[in-house]
Amino acid sequence: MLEYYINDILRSLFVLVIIGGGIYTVLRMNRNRIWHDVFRQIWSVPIARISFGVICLYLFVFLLDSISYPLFKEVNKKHVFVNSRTLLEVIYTPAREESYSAPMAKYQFTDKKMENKGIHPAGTNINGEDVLMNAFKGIKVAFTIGGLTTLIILPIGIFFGLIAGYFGKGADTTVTYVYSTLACIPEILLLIALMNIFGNGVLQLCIALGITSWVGLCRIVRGETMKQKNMEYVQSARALGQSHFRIIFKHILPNVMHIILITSILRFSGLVMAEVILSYLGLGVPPEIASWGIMIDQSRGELARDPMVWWNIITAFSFMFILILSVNFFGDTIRDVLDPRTRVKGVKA
Amino acid sequence: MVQNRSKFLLILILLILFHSCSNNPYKKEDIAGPILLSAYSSELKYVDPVKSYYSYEATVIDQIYESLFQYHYLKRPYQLIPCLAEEVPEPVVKDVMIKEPYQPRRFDRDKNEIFQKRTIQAISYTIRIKKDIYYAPHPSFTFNKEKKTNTRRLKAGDFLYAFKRIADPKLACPIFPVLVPKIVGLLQFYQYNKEALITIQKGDTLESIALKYYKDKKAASLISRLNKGINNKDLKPGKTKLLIKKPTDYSYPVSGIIIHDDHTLEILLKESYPQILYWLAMHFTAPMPKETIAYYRERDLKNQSEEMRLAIPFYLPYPVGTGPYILASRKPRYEIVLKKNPLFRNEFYPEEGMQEDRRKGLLDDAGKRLPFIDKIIFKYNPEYISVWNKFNQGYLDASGIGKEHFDRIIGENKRLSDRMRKKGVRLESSGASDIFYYGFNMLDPVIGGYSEKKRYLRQAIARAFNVEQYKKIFRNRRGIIPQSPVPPGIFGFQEKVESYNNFDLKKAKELLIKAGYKDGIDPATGKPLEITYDTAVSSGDSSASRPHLKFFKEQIEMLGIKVRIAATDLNTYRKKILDGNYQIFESGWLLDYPDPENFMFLLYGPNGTVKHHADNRANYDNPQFNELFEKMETMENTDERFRIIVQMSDIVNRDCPWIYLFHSEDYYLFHKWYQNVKVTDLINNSLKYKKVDPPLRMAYIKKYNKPVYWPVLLFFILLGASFIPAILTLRRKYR
Amino acid sequence: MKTYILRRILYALPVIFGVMLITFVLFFYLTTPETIARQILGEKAKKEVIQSWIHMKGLDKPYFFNTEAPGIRKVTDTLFIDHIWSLVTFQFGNSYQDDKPIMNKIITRAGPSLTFTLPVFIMGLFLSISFSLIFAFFRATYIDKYGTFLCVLGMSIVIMIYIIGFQWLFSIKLKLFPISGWAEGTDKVRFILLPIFVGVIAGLGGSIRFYRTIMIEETTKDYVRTARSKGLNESLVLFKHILKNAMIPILTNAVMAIPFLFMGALLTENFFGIPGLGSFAVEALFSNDFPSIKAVIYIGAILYQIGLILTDISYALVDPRVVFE
Repeated sequence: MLEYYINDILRSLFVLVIIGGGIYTVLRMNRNRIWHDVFRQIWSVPIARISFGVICLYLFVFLLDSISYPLFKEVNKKHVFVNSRTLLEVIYTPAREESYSAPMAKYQFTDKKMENKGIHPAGTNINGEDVLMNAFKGIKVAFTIGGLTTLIILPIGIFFGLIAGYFGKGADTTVTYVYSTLACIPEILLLIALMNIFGNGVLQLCIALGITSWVGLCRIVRGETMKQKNMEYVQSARALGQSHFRIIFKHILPNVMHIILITSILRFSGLVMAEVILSYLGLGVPPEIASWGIMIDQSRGELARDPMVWWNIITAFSFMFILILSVNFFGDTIRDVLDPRTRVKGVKA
Repeated sequence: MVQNRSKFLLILILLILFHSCSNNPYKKEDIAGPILLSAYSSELKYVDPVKSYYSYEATVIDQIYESLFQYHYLKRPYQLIPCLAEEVPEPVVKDVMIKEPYQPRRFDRDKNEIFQKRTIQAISYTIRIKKDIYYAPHPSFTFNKEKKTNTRRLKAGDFLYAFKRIADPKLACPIFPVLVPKIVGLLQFYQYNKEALITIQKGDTLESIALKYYKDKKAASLISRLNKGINNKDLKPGKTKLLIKKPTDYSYPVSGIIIHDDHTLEILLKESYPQILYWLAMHFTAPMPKETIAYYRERDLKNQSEEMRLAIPFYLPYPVGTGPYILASRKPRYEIVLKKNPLFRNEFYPEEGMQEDRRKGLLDDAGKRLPFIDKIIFKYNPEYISVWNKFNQGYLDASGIGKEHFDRIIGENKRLSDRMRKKGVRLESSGASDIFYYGFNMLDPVIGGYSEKKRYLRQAIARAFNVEQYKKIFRNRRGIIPQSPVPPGIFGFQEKVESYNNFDLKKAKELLIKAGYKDGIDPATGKPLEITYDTAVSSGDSSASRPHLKFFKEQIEMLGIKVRIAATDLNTYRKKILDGNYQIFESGWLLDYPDPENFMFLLYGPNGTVKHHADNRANYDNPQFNELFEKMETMENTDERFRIIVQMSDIVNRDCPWIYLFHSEDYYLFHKWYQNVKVTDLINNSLKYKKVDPPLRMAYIKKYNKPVYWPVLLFFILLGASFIPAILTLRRKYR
Repeated sequence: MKTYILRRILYALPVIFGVMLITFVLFFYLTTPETIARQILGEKAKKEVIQSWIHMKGLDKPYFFNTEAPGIRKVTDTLFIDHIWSLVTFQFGNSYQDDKPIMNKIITRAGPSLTFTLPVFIMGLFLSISFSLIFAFFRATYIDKYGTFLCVLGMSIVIMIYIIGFQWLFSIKLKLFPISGWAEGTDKVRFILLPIFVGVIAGLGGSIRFYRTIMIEETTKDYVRTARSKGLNESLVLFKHILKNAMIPILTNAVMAIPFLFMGALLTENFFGIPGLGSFAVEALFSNDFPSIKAVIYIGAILYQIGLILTDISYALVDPRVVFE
């Protein structure tokens, strides 16, 4: 019995630690004067404030859906584990219907005589599940895919990018060779092949996406490191006899951090969208998990019904669209603030 | 002026663009002619009758090939009528003298020495073949003066050739295991042509072996290449085994198929097997002209190396037959076009039918010459949503995909929605002779086995599955819940039998206790019993299958058992099935021919997938059932046979290797201009009976496909307008 | 110049070798010869038939080192060398699916892919450059602001929604185009208009935003200020100076897209029923048609490298400051 509690606690802790770590880093950076300025500038843009609020809302639902506790039932005076229940399920427990019902409808969609057991703001799907709940659960999948993949990409991309950019010569040739070779193979084919090897599953999907998409980050970090390498501060650090390791991670890394931040935020939306295409190909997350990709893929057949079943696709699409839009706007603002090249303010006709 | 002219040009281009705008996916003349507009969603893999096994392939190639018999288009239950044969023959038991090999031999012997003459008792079918039948024109034939084109008269020898191809070891015909052992001498043909592994004797060299098997010393290099580049030094007498391959020798005689003359064929069976006539109505036994095979072999294998020619099974890339249509063009992922065969024999629309057929107008064309439709265009449409929309727009006469049809007739209880009815769309339904089921792997240590407890476990799972609700959600309540493996319309169908696995959750829980898993808890571990549902996820149907998986999982988990869904790609799934590495799977079977044997054989022990690579995927093997099956297999439809079938169903229902899902009830939609349609899942060559009324179609298409331009124009105007203030400000600034 | 091109080509060779290695490792790991054989010969094929098929196709050789073979053939008579050899000599052999020559299949499938991706590429490039110029021209006005807003909006929509939505709007509601299908000759224009439209619109948001950044970056450069201070017309500055200088990054970005032109867009092809190469590759991948996949990837990689080399050369044509070292 204890093991189930530990299991659930660990899982919840993992998410909490990552989100907490993120918040801590931001707060820590806020103490630094330059970053404090940057955050203030970002906050001064209204659309960034709105997007940030939306992202926080999504994160909140994600958090609710990630914190879980085990449920037991008693059989022969022994507690037997049934399943894990998340906070989200405690807060929002929609009734289970038999099959389709339209948003807010009182009766089933296909069987007009059958009354619904509850009210469903976004209707129910063919299995009678609440579409809104599924969309909420899709948030978890989206964040897991976006977040976990980013966690896989970051160390690989940063490490090899820094090494290649800083040392040049052999290291650079090797790293560029590896990624230009990978870039030659169409991403979708590589993804399908990898998914065939790994099998279906969220973790597998993340690893496959990680393998195909570290190239972009690595390329950008390498380019930026090459620029930084020739800057005075690096030259002087070297003159002071500091080790390469120290120079790379103490001096150069903080100075390429903004590029990494921008790239990973904008990449996040791409990863969420990739899930839809992979679901269409039957390679996404396992069928019993609710995800936006599966909902959209499902609706291909539903749109051909007569009368049409539209709420599944519209709900999934809106949830996804709003998240990606917010992430894009937020990322854009950060870029505008951090990247002096794109600042429009300085340009006056 | 210059600016004006460019504006004028722009408008002209826009006008032309708009004029060409139409959502018609065909050429104009195609909609207007007596042409059938159809769709297909899977690429045809084979057009060779010996290999093609899928129903979507049959809808195309069965218009081109014809066999000895066919089914009556209108009569139900299905009735065999002659097609290329003069009449349907009766079996005769008689003593025949045949030339038979002493024992199964391989090609290493001279074939003339090894035969003995022997008299056996056999079941004989003597079939007379229609006289004036010609193959469709094809360059592989020589010029025929009478018909003024390259063609040839159909001969009895072509059927013999087709049978030899079924037994050809290289071609791996899917019906080989069923048919070949039944016909006298056909197995010997297979064994003679099978490749051989020979053991080296003392004094053998590659050259001597080449001389012995190929009658040619030079073949030594071929043998060497066939065996990993082996050479004479590597040969160890008594130990080394060499692989020898030869082209299939079609001159090797088959003693059980006798050609009396060009138009008389006699087939000898070892034992009574009435189903043989059904096989003779399928495209596997369609006559095959030798010269066409030779023509394409020459064309396609010319540049292949010798060993490749020996290894690769050669399938006909272009169908040539005697049927009403010929293949005009076939472009992958684009279209398949069939054209009328100019040399098609005189065949006429049936004059008799069922009672309701006259009312439905199905007999209006009685006695008219077939076929009615000039050309059939199958367009590639992988996405179901486009098929549906095109059907609605009138660009498809019917949609040929049965599986998803129910999605469109959502109207209350099996009725067509009003909107569709107003459009003149017709709904047809037919009870299909098929069965869908979830199977248990009987070889599995947890879920399989024949002990009392295991039986209860399976029965409990079967009873926990609410088929009625499954039907309601996924199939619009269509279909009949099976009581035994035999579907309606087939001899041996039972309305109601002693039920072991109808939905009853309370009973299921009781059974589970009897099985030793109270509340689904495995006493050995103290945790819920976990069972695995194995399935393949592929790109096409993933969206359709996902809700089914979920439904299954939730139903079974009501017992307290856990269901794990193992969804893998198709290859891994196939491997799992072949290795017996699975617990529960979904499967279905559509009849090959209307006989209960064609369903019961899915549970016959010696057809087990793991051990025998045949169709019994549950690997069910009950000696009692097997014995009854062997008895029933060769019987005529008598009361005795019915009794045996009831007995067999009872054994199956008690052992419960399957959870029955449904015998499907197929619904099809047709436009009113598509006529003479009688829905069937057995008659594949039905397009020759069908008719379209082009003016009706034209009128429909005109009515429902008027292009609407204004939103596009509006969009451009708004886009242009949005720039005006900006331009004005800028102008002001620069001034 | 010639030596530069030669060096560039020599650099591309190891990359292509790397691609060969990856495809080799991936696909031999992906399936066993037996699965392939069963797929082709049917599930009910006899064991000995399968064995001999595998043997014939040479799939039972060792991967890298053949201990059984004599002499030099220890190294040459292996799967890996067979794999490399078939690619280098362009002898792709026959497809496992229907036993037709792969080269012919690729050629017939590449045509439809190109007829639809090439216009998408060119029109997309043209439209995104012109819009980004317009945005740069009207920068800091409402057009720039709402334009970029629309771009972000556009790039936040998944391609599948574009396809489903546009089919619904233009073919079902407005009845302007066929929903899907294909034809030969000039007749195909009707079929490719809608996919082209979808392709262009779906890609527009991202690329306009990207090019706009480049354009605006250029406007801050010194030469622009000089040109302006000379009293040159703003539109002249934009078209003559900025566009010319922005061409280098734009070209680089455009070339990156070349292999994907050749591959087509898988989803678009499937939904609109275009018999293109993208769907061919995915079909081949799903049905374990290893020779077809490796051929497609190999040809794609070669085209990609050629594209890269051409860009490097075109840099010089656009910008004389680039010197060939």
